[in-house]
Formats: sequence, structure tokens, C-alpha cells
Amino acid sequence: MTKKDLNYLAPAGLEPLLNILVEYGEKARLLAGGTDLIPAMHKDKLDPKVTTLVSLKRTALGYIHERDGNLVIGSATTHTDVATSPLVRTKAALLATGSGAVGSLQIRNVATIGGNVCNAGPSADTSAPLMALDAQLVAASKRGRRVVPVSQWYLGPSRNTLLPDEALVEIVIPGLPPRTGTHYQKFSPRSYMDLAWVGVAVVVTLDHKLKRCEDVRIGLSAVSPSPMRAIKAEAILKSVEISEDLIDRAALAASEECNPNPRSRRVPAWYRREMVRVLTKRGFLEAMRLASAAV
Amino acid sequence: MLSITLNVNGISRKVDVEATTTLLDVLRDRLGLLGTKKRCEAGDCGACTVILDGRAVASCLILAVEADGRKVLTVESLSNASGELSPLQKAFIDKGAVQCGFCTPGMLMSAKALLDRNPHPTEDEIREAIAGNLCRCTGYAKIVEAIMEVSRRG
Repeated sequence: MTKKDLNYLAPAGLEPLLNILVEYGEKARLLAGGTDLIPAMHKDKLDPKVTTLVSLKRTALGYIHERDGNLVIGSATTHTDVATSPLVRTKAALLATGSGAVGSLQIRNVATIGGNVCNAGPSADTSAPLMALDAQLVAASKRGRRVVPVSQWYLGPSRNTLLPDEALVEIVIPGLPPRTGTHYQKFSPRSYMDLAWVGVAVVVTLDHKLKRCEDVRIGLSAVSPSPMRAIKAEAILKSVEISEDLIDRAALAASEECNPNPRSRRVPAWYRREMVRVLTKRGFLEAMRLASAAV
Repeated sequence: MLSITLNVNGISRKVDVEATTTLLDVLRDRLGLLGTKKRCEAGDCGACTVILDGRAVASCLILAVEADGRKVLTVESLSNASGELSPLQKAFIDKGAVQCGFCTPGMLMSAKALLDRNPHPTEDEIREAIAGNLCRCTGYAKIVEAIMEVSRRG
């Protein structure tokens, strides 16, 4: 039990929720699954400015569907629903893998993808997949809707671009072209119930001859203050025909451009860099194999 | 105070709670259902696992108000009115899956949620379903065996 007295509101619909955010500003804290918020409350670590929890449970933001060729996921959709959705598994398989790697089943059954994105943990399991998918995050407020590319969303550990009167309502994932393969690897010492030491997500689109990368995006998590794209590695992979040497050079570039916390008590930085190199190569090879099969 | 109604083990229960009261505290302290255990209060140990609308959840991480109007099953729901244990509970005993017993209610509820959805799970599916339930005594093998046994008999 927390010592702090909090009020609780469960507005019926998005509009009343946005009105509350205007009225309460930083005194309001959105409550989605609560799996990060409630432990923080137990430990009395909630922002002291917060007086009121505002539940998303009656806002109907739990959904997964296709719209104009894009995959659209409501922010209050649970990880279990994302991980087991046939649509996500077909259209963005690596995101299903990411959501399926969160905590335990008890956590995934209530924790939401929007909560994972908003809490902005450097090792969040959906972050590297969303970076590699070039997802768009839709923030709503009384002032209207603002679409934020995921690459501009994260501002550092536990910080995001959301303003006090905004709520994340939707995640839009652009449809993937043919000859595209995706892959996400979470590396942690235990296979369950562990934070990622390194997360590597790869989305590759091959050219018609399956010899070159038409496009490639690599998302990395847990190896910098915020999830990041391995831009230098991507540029190398797009430069010439794919070869083992090219993949090795790209994987090395990814390990050099990431920025693991040198003071981490969990994992030494050199080890994270080394794992980025290994997993970038492995992830690219697997995504390439899937892309060749997705002709 | 907020007034909520929970359907607990098939019975409608009305309770007044604070906004910050967890479902776990309502079950234990208000409704006297002490089978559900309280330990880490961080979603790490699984001792507080109950089934909410058909899904296994950590009741320490759920505010009671968020569960308003929903169906909760606790370990007390497994045995019948005359106290006879369910096949799942019997299998836990038969296979030696209970030692100190602290994790057992949570294990049983995770296993029940799995078997209700998937009556014949693979060993991997069982291990994934109970990955969020920590056991310090058994090493898990006997728990997995017990769940397999119910699946075979069912």
C-alpha cells in the first residue's frame, strides 16, 4: 500500500479523458495496465505532483486493425493481444516477438503497448521493433492530433515527447513491401522475467534479384539512453551487394555507434557492444532469409 | 472511498476501497480469501496470481477499482463445496509439486488459466505459462509434471 492519497478517475471515452488532462495537467497520471505505475506507487516513487490517476479502461483504446495498408494498434492493447494477434504476426512479426518477450504472462495480460512506449525504458521490448518498423505514434489532446515518428519519441531514460495535456492513443505501423523479412532478438541471461541486456530488431527489404538491400532498418534497445537506429550499419548494408564481409562490417559499425551506459551495474558496456555485433549479424541473416522466402 | 462490485469465485461482492487499494488487498484483507499470497508487490514472484476475466494476472499490480464489474477466480474456487480438491490440485499432491506451499496457489491459478484455454499444452507452453511464478523448493520439474498429468488425464 502506498502512503500517498490519490484520486481515481475513469472517464468514459477519449474526449472526457482529454478534458481531464487539460484541467489537471501534471497532476494527472494516466493509468493503462499499471504494471510499472503500481510498483512505483508501492515504493512511493510516484512523481509528488501527481494527485489523480486517470484510467484508460473506458476509452476503448484496445484494438488492432488494418487501415489504408497500415497496421494500427490502440495504445491500451495488452502485450498478450499484440503477441498473439494473427494480424501483427503477419504484418509485423518482430513486434509480436517483442511484446511476447515482456515480463511474464501475468504482466503481458495487463501491461499495454502504449505503457511500454510511454514509460520509455531504455530496454523496453517493443522499442527496438518499433524503431525498425519506423512506427508513427499518435498523440491526442484537445488541440488536435500530433503524429510523432518513433525516432523522435524517446528523450532519454523514462522520458518521452508527450506533453502534459496529451495521451498516446495509437501506434501506426506502415505496411511492409514484398521481399521484406523482420526479426527481433532479446538477449538476457534468463529466458523469462528479465530485462533485455541487448535488443536488436531488423527489418530488411531485398531487391528483385535478392542480392541487395533495397531498404534496411536496424533498431537497438538497452544499449543507449534511448532506443536508437543503427544508421551507419544500415548505410553500409545498402551500399553494395550483400556479402558476409559486408554484414560483418555493418555489425561492427552497429557495435561502434551504440552507446551503452558505461556505469551500468547490470552489464559491462564492452559486453553489450560485443553482443550488438553478434546479434546484428545474426538478426540480419535471419531477416534476410525470411525476406527471400517472402517473395 | 469508491464503491465497487467484484464477482469473486461466482459470488457478487460489494466493497468500498481507496483508489490505491490493490485487488490483492481486497481479496485478502476485505474478503478474507487468504489463499492468494502476498510477497513481492512488484509482479515478480507470481504468488498473488488470480484469474481475471479468464486471464492469469498478478493481483498485486491491479487496482481494485480497475477490476470493478469483472470476474475474479482465486485458488479457493478450485475445490468444490464439500472441500474435495480439483484434479489439478490432486495432481500437484500426487506428483510432489507442493513443498513449502507458498507458491502453490499462484502456480495452480496460472496452470488453471493455461488448461482452460489449452487443455493439452506442450511442456514448453507449460513452462512459459508458469514463468512468472517463482518456486524456491521444487525446481519446477514436479510442477510441470503435475500439469502434464492433468492434461493427460483430461
